Amino acid sequence: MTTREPSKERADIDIQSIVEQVQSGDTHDYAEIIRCFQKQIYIYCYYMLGTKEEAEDASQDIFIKGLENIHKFSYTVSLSAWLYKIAHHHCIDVIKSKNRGYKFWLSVKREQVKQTQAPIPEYDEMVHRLLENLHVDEKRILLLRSIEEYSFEEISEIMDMKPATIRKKYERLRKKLIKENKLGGGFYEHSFKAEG
Amino acid sequence: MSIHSKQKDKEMARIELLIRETPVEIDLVDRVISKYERNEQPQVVKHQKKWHYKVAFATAMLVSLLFITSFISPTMAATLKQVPVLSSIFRLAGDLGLQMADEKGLSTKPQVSVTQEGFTLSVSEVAYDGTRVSIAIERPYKEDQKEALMDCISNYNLFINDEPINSFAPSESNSISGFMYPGKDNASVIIEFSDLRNQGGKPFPEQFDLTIQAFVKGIENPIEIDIPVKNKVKDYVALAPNISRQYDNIHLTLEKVKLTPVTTSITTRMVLTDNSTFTDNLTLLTMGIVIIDEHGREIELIGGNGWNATNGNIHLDDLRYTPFESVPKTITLKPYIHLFKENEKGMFQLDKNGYPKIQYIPELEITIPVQP
Repeated sequence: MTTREPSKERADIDIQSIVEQVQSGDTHDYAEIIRCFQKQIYIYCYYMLGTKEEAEDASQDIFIKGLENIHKFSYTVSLSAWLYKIAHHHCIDVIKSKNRGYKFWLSVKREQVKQTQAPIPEYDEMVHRLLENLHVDEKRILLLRSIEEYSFEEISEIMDMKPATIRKKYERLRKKLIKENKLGGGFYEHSFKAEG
Repeated sequence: MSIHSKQKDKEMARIELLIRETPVEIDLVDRVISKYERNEQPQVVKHQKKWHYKVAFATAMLVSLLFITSFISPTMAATLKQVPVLSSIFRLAGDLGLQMADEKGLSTKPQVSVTQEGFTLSVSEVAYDGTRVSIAIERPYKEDQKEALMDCISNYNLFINDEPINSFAPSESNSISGFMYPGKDNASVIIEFSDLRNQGGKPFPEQFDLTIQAFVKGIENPIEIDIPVKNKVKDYVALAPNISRQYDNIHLTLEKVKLTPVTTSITTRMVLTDNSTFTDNLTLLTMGIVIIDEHGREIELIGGNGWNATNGNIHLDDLRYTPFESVPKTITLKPYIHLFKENEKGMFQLDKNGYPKIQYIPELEITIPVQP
């Protein structure tokens, strides 16, 4: 078994005992789980879906689904891996829905949020551009590698694929990104430095 | 390891760090816990996503609706509240087409009510013009009612002659959804839906029994209301011009036009003639069409259904607008794109009044005769 030990998930809190508390009916303890994983799940959704508003809605729904189904969770995978599985299915549903009637809600939403939403910073824009030419699976692998620094074995469990397949896909995406990056190298270098 | 591969690894590490260190300020705890506690029924949460889009879409139509309702004086509004049974939701909150339907007797008023566990829902008005089905739903008005009916109905299903509405859809990925938007007050809503006959789906019958299965928060079983629906429009103009225009890589065809006293609808097909696709192409996905008559009078967009396959190069659109006052001699379609800010992904450029800036594409303009 290549799964992480639960205690390694987040060093400072005991996720396993919190999960047990929530499973025994104390839903308020779930707050700790949300605090622990919300940033990572949000970043995952943000780069999968493309806008902050969608990422927030999706993250919220993912944590609700997690809470609804927590009784089904057991430590055959880490809790974070389990949440990423939920996140993946949810994001795919959202992407599918976007392809239906996408045009309308998108244009309206952009108009509605124009005054309230902060513009996408250059930093994120650059990542969006880098991810633009990746397939969904490649995006998932890159995001899981980046956000959680998962091993290929861990990613293979989340994505239900062989570790060798994940490794190959990673190599392919790496080539794509490096090529992409060379094309827009000046922009990338500049912005990266600007972020310190 | 060669210097070259080391350099590549370094670059990948940078990209990964860039993703990992994306600045985020988010706190979902209260929202998740309170929403979970509020919506104890699993299906409520299950349909949340769908809602998001429906509500977002409905706001498109609301832009015009809000203008219309703002013309009602406070005195008149107060009077109407006292006699809610007599006031038509279509007349007060509908678009120009639904107001016409009510005024010209092209709607029906079934006044069917169902009460379950103390919660009453009524269907007060229905219109079907062969293009769209609109249903006004309300509950008894209460001055101190805090939660709007729109928020109480967590989800709903529609059945035509006992068949799910999506048995009329062209495919699983291009499905039929209803859109719900607020009615004349917080005790009423309007649900609207159309078939996708112009995109390969089955047409709705001219007359059918509609079942609305509404899931209401706090009510264990869905409330089911059956109502008869009939297309009451006899006079309409239907054209199949199949006229195309080409600009750059865009091939636009106007396939169908239908004018009824309640709705003007057009069906267009856009094909990208190079190897590009619609996926993530914001400029094309947000493209719009202004319709004017021979005097330059413009009609207002109500809504529509757009669809393209993932990574596809064909985009189909059914667009629905308000009706013309009388049948025009000609209509002109003026396609336009929105202008986006260069440095902010997906953000519209705005004019001095705060409206998104648009740019017409004259090469794609189409004028067709309507009257013989």
